[in-house]
Amino acid sequence: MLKPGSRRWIVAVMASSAGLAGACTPDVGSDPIPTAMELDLTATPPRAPQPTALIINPQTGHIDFRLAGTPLPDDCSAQQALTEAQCQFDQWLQTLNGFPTVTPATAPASGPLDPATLTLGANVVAVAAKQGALATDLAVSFDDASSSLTLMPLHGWDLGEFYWVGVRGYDSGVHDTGGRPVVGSPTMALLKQDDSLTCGATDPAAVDPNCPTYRVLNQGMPSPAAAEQLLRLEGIRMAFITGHGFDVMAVAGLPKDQIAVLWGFPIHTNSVPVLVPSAGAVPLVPAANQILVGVQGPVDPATVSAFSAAAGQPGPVVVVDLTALATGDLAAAFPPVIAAYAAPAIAIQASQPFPAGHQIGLFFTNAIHSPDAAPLVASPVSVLLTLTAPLVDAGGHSTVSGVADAEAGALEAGRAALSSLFDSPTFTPTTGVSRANVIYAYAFIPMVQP
Amino acid sequence: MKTNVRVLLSAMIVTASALAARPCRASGFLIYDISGQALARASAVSADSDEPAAVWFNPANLAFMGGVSASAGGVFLTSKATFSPAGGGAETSSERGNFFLPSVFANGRLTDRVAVGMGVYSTFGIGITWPYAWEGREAAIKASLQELSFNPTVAVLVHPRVSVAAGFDAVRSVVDFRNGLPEPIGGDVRLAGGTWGFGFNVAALYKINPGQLHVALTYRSRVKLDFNDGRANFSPANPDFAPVLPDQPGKASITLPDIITAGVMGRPRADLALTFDANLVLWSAYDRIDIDFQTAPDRAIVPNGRNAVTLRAGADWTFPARVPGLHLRGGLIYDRSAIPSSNLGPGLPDSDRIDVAAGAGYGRGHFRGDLGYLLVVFLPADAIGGQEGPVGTYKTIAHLVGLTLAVTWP
Repeated sequence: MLKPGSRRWIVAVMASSAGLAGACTPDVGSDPIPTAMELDLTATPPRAPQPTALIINPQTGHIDFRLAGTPLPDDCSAQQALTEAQCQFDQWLQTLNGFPTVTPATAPASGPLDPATLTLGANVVAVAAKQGALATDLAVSFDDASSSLTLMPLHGWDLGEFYWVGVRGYDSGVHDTGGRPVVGSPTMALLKQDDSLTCGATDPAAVDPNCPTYRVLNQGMPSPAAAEQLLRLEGIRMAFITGHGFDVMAVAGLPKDQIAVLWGFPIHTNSVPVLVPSAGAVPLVPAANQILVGVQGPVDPATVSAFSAAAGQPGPVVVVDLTALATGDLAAAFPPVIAAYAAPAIAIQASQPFPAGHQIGLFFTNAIHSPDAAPLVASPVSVLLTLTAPLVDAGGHSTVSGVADAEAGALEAGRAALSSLFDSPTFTPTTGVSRANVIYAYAFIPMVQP
Repeated sequence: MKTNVRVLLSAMIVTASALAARPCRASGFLIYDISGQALARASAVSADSDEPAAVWFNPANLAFMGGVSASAGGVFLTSKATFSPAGGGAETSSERGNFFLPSVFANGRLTDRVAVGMGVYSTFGIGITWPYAWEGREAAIKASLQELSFNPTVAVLVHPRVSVAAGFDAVRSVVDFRNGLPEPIGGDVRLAGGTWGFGFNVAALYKINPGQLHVALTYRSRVKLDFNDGRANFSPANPDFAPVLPDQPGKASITLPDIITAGVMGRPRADLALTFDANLVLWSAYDRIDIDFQTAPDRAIVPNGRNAVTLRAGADWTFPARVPGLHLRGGLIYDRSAIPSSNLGPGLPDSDRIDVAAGAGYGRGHFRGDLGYLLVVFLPADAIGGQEGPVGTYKTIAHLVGLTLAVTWP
């Protein structure tokens, strides 16, 4: 039975308790999260620079998406992981021994980068390893849509070349739009280690649990997965070393400790007829009866000849007057032409000018070879135009990564038109051109260019 | 007069709160010895305490105490630990830790049979700082756990020789840990948070032969501290790891253990009281601390605490004829380690301990002052597990000096 005066004591105790409730808790502070050049091989799909030699199968020498953990099915219509068009396009990529010459090199970043700091040759360094020379014929930019640093080859990567691309980070390198230095990723930090990540182990079961890098990985994933990931990273680290990736960067003025991300990729060795409509790389029409198609790489002239319907002569170069074909005028649909190779282009010469306003379709097959007997390969746009699956979805969005919505929309019209041609029961038997062997497909209305 | 006493008590509590709000750390986890008088008797006082600090040691004593009393004081603690790696090599010493643990107690009778008491004190704490780059940095660079208990209690005389008591514990606790991050990340992570936990205590005192032979039994419940609002600041030395180790919330729970105490006081002579206490501390409640970060890999600290017994023996001499009011005191403690060798780490380098206590007190009129000293010798403790810290041997020495000033109105 407390007396009234005791209330003051109780109030004081309660007040002290309340005051203490928020007391003593230290303020640990909070640091801003830096923008990083990303390299996460465990993400699905991996968040990493592309293209990359990491998906070149050393046994086959070809691109192999199984190495990225995203194997492709034989039947693209029976899977859900990718759009059908993406699946078909990736299936074609897997036929190549390197990446297409027009492939943009991209490196994802966790935030927007300051374009002013994306200086080619200084902060963004690309080296043609076989030539031992800086690659300077590139346009460097930052793509906000994909949050990626992008290097676009202005005239295509060189055939058969291997490129290393490094991005300088930290205080003296690329900065984000907030003016803060860009850093690398944990994976890149490990790949830059001088010592074995596995502490010498060559088998996951033999990794020492006290191996420092293993301990780090083991904090974020179970032991078996950590050991396997460790060996995978060690393989990449060794590939960087044996491929002299860090060495060529150092020679180019980008020392290892300033590299935020480094990656390398090969370009396929096969010659390729150039077709990049978005960059203006389309057939040239120097005269009303003449068409030139540029080819990157050498061509064996003996393998270049034109198909002739009238003479019943097969040939890997097929010219179709699509307007005449649409009217059922088969005689006019296959105008007589001759084709020959005159470096650096395949020249198509018609006996008469192409009818004004008519849409002309050009098709090359892989019967055209380079002097070493290797067949020419298709350019990506030709492949896209010959896919069976649509390039845009119902919402008008591109179904193929790396192809912008607008470009996909434009290509889809051509693909749909060509699709009916390829699907017709007479076209392939007549011309010998099929989706399986076509390396060049393009439809256009020839306009004589000055 | 009573009003003035209450104002004084209020002021003392406010003062204690303010003191505790400052960084207050102690080496070891349970700091049982929190009064100058008890400390000098090795805190073997559960069956023979006539000071307001009985709120902590055995509140059943309050029922036998007359009038209104209040005390304020504190314990100054200084300690230093060293670590010698098992494979040889240089010894590493922690920074010398100097801590002050304030305490305020008050009690008063409400009726002939009922008394109340209140204590504000700190009895659990961790406080150790190792060199930043030392070999055990991943286990601990700095470990700090501060605690302040608010403990109101009621004691009832159920028989002229028997009293019982019950109390409520509101525990405010703050943790602040800094650990090194493993190579090749480097740098450190600091985790801090504060929370409240709650518990209770019950006690009994039986004066078999009043003034000659007493026995006591007390129980303090465990207190679970859920740090749900913790914050972690990751500072990796390698900036490439910064994006995946952002500063973020973290959660952890720590359980303060139950304490069961049995005590006896015997007076072979009129001027000499001998006391013996045994504490059983259920450190098995302190078995595992899971730190749950929002995105960073979680971390587990596994002290694997084991129940431990502490034996205390104390003596109190008085000189009523020659120096009335003077007390000379002494005591010994054997304290069993709560952490097994396999789980010993630098955040709490516990070991078996032998303590030697001595002190004196003097009272005159309404006032009394008590001073005590405790030498804590941590026997060498081998850490053999390698999971909670490096393998090697820890050695620690601590000195505690307690001073309590009390005032009593009959």
